[in-house]
Amino acid sequence: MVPGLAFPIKPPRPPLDEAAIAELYRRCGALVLRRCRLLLRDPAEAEDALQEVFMRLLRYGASLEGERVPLSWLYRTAERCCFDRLRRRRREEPVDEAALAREPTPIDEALGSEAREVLGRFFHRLPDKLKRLALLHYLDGLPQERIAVELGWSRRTVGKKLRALAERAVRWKSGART
Amino acid sequence: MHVLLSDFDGRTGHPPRRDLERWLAQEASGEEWKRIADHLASCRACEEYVEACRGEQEALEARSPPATFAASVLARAASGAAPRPRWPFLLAASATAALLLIAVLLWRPAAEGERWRGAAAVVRVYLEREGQRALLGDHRPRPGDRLRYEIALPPGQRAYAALVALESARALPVLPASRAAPPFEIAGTSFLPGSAALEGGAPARLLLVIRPAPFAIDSLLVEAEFAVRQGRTLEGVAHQLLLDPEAP
Ligand SMILES: [Zn+2]
Repeated sequence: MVPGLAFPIKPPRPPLDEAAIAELYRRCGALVLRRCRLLLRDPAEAEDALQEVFMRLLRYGASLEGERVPLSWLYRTAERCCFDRLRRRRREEPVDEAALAREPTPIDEALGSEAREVLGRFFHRLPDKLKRLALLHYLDGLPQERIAVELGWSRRTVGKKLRALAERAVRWKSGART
Repeated sequence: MHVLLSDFDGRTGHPPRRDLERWLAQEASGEEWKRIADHLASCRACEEYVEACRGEQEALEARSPPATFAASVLARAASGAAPRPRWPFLLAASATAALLLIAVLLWRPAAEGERWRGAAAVVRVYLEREGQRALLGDHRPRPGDRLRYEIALPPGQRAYAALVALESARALPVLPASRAAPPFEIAGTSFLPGSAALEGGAPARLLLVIRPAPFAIDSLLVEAEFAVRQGRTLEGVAHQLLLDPEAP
């Protein structure tokens, strides 16, 4: 404890060695992979993205506080990796929404139809912040207070954007582009 | 920032999926751990979700054991390798440690010196390993090896060539590496510029396409994907190689 502070200051995380990476992979590998697969819809590329997440952890992880790398950090990093890849891919080939809608994902069964539409065929139309909102809401099932914390928004903004997202999904479904 | 108490969804009574995942990742502790454990003991849907995640982890570790994965991440980080291209066989700089535990590649080459649409295009494939080059012949390519293609056309003939990869039904450019680049114009006997570096990954086919007229790589890829889906042959395939790291 540092005098005058109400919370203990956590030491920076020690650099990861091979054993620590393996341990984190055992706890979280498949969970992170699942997210990458949902975003990329390409199993081989998703496994590559999983490696990239851990490489980013080696590069940036020392600034994380505490001993354990939180799942939320891995998810955020996986999202960034996948968004980058999707952008590169979009430059190379047009998006086939119908294929995205058909392509099965590991978690499809667990999701409602609105969630499937937003996370599937319409996902690429969203700006990155709204993509994250959609993931936290539809995929993770987080309550609005916690989404607000994750995104650094007010609870009110989260509510407003979620309503707008749902309306957009309905409009897109009926065939409107915007 | 951790929220210590799970917010069980007021409507459904289930914890958010994220909390089930944090529980699996051994991030939940104390009261939160207990609340989720209690819920799992009495909720079949959540228990099934958790079991499915566990199954995925087991499958992942069977494909890519933790030690291998960790070694490969460290090797890639040390080599400063950029994110790998989508097709994992191809990597500009190979990270050797990443390759140690990958099974030997199987290959099934077309006959050397395959004829090209009646004209005599002779294709030789060389394997480069540790600074040595040898005809592919009966060598088995291994991860870390590079393939180089030599094409001989009859005197006075001119043609256009490109190497593409097919991974299940997806076609990707290899040489040239960009879909926007033109194919290589060839004449006489020459090597295709560049080489294809092999790394472990999903099974794939390498197709060398040689055609008498220029073509766009982009449309070649579309054609190749179409041919695979329809079970047709792709026009101008002068050589093909099956790479299957999973094969015994
Ligand atoms: Zn439940």
